[in-house]
Amino acid sequence: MKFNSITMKLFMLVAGTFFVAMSCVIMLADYQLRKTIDDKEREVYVEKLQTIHGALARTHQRLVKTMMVEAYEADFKNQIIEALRKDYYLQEKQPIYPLIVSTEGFVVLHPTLPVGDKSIQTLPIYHDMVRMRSGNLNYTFNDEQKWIIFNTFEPWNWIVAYAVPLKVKYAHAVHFRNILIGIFLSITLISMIVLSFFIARFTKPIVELTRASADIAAGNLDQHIVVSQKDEIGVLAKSFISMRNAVKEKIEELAGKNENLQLEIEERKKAEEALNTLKENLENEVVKKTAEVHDELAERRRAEAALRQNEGLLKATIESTVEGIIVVQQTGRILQANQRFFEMWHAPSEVQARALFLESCAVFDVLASQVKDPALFTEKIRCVHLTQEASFDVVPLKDERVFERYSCPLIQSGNVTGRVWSFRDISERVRSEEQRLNLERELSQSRKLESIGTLAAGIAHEINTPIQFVNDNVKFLEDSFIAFENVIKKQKELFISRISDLKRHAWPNYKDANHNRLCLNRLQVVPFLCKIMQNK
Amino acid sequence: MKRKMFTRHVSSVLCVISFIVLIIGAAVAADDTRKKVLYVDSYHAGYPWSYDITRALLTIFKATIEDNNTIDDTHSPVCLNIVRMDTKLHTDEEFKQQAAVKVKEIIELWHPDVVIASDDNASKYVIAPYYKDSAIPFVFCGVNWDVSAYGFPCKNVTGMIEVSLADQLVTAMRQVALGDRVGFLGADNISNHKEVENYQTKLGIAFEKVVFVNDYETWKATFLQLQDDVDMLIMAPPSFIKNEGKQDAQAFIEQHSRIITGCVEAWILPYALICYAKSPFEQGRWAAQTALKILEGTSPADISIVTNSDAVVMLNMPLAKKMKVAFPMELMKDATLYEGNAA
Repeated sequence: MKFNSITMKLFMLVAGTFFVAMSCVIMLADYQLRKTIDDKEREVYVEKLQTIHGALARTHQRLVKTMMVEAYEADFKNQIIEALRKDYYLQEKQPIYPLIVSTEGFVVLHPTLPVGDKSIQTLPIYHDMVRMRSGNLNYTFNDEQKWIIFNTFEPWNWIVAYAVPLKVKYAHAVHFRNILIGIFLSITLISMIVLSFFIARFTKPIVELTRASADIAAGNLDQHIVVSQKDEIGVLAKSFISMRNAVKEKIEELAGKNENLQLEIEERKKAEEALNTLKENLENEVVKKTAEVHDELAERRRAEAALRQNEGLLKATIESTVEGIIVVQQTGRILQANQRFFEMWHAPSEVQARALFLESCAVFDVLASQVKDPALFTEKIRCVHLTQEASFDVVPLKDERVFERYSCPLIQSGNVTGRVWSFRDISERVRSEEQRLNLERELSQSRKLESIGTLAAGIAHEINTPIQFVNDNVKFLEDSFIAFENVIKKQKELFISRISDLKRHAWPNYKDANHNRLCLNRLQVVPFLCKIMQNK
Repeated sequence: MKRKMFTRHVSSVLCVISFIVLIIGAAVAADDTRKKVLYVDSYHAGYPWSYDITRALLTIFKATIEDNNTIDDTHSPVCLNIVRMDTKLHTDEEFKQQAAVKVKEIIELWHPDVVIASDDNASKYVIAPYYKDSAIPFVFCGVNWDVSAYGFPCKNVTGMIEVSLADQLVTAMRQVALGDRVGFLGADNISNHKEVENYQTKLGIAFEKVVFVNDYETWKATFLQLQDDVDMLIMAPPSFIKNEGKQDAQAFIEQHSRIITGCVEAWILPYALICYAKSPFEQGRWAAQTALKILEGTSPADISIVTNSDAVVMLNMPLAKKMKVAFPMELMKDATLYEGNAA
């Protein structure tokens, strides 16, 4: 039989279980028995100590009753010691005996040591007893292990003790344990013999199956298996036979399938190679395209950045100009409008806030409400929208401001997508122009007057010689020129009046008119001067 | 006279009741095969002497007295009954004789196998007149000094004579005395005279000086005188010392004692150093054990009449301390130590 066979293992397991169980029982029984003995012995010896204590106490009481303690103490103590010796030391060498030692370190009562012996002071147990006063201890005396239980008779400082050898104390426990071990060993031996037979019988089919399985493992699938049992092992054997048959069939089936699988594997290997090639191409393509996309994205980001920069620049430009600009889509939606536009047109805050969400007509209605001729303004706007031309106009406002309007189409990709409307406040320019014209007119008048004066002075210088002649006629001239001054005044007033008319009626052709006026003035002055000369 | 008559009637009624109880008990125990023992007590139940004798009987017979004064002898080898003559309290002759008659009636009705009679009156009034040499065995105890006056010994009677233990007392006193002269001091009465006579004739004690006194002062003076005349002094009961004078007497004794004093009565111990008292328990124990022997078949005639020997030793420790007397341990060993009034 092999050492690692299941039969041996089962046998060892059962034997081990027996051994462990019985060891536990023996140890537990021994422990419990010793504990019980300890308790009982303690009770018994406490009672025995109480008896000795009672005798000592009675003696002590009698001693006190004598009223002459010092006189009788030694006799009384000797008397009780002798009485105890007589009562307790019945044999010469008794294993269990009471003893009394004084806490002052000498023997009072001991079976072998003489009274007064002080050798006990060298024993550790003596010092333990003195320290504890009462209790129980194990100790070794003369190479013998003993258990001692003791208490102190306080009036005389005597430690009364009972010394019991451990082999005596636990004699019954040891005897019981030995008997128990003998019984258990016998039971174990008999049980092992019987069980070994049953175990061998029980494991026989398993051994058979093991041998058969080894043969099958070696390739002999035609191994004959005979199992007559009907228990689980029988079922196992039948299942094993079924399994062997199934394995046999499966092996054959697998051999056929193996060939097919080999072919399939080769085909698949080829397909895998093609797929790998394709995969490599695709990967290269993807890498390439990815690089392109990256470049494109970078370019787009750059363009977007430039666009955002341009947008910002354009917006800043629009905002920085003194003109009010509004960009309107062809659909009527307002694309952009600068702050100047709203300020010029005194647009309401809600219109400013929502300008980009309003239709352009709503804004232009606001504008129309401020011009002197809203209908004309609106009509012109509408007409401009219909054309693709640039448009210019001057728009007088009700508040006497004059705006110059310029509109050009917004062309993207060749198509008109909207219009840019630009408004410039030219009120100051118009007013300056008017003032300049007035100043020029006044200057011209002054120059005329200066020419006339110069002429008059020259004439006067020229005629200074004949002044004398003239002086005589001055009086006459003064009288004659009164009428002439009136005519001049009238002519002057007429002249101014005609200039004003000219200005008023011929404004559109201002430059021409001005030229004409100068011409006219020159034409009118010559005859006048001739008349003056004639009059002279 | 009327009181005496009343007492007699009561006693008669009690006796009748006891008799009836005994009859009923006898009827109940008709099937009891145990031997019957009747204890005839000369005195009453509470008397200390009788109490100790009764206690000894109960101990030997393994019986007890219940709280209702019935005897529980279920664990006893014998069937025990007790009859008390009560002659300590009733000392007139007629009562004693009537009590004896009633005891006789009970004996004839119950038919005890043995009768224990304690003290003189039971022997004198029951055994001697009715049952001497009869078939009923009798065991007496507590009969003082001499039984010949009652016609003992005879074939059906045996017992223990009660004697004072003066000889033992003198022996004990000699252990601590400084000399050998023995004296006696007691009241001048017949009992004490008899005692001295018995000490001398029966116990062989030779007295140096015997003094009987009639009053306390004389007693004190004599005591002082005897301190010089003797070395040991036996003190007899000083009956003239009343309760109020006890403390004074004790103080006197403690102050003037120089010699060893002794007594044979426990109650005299306060005035003496050593007491050797008789033991009633010994009397009762011996009587019970003898009764059992007779019940086992021994004839009373084969059992000798004995005297008591067990002493109840008592030592007066305050006096000993005063006198600086240290007793030997053999005396101390079984002695009862008297501690005086403080105790």
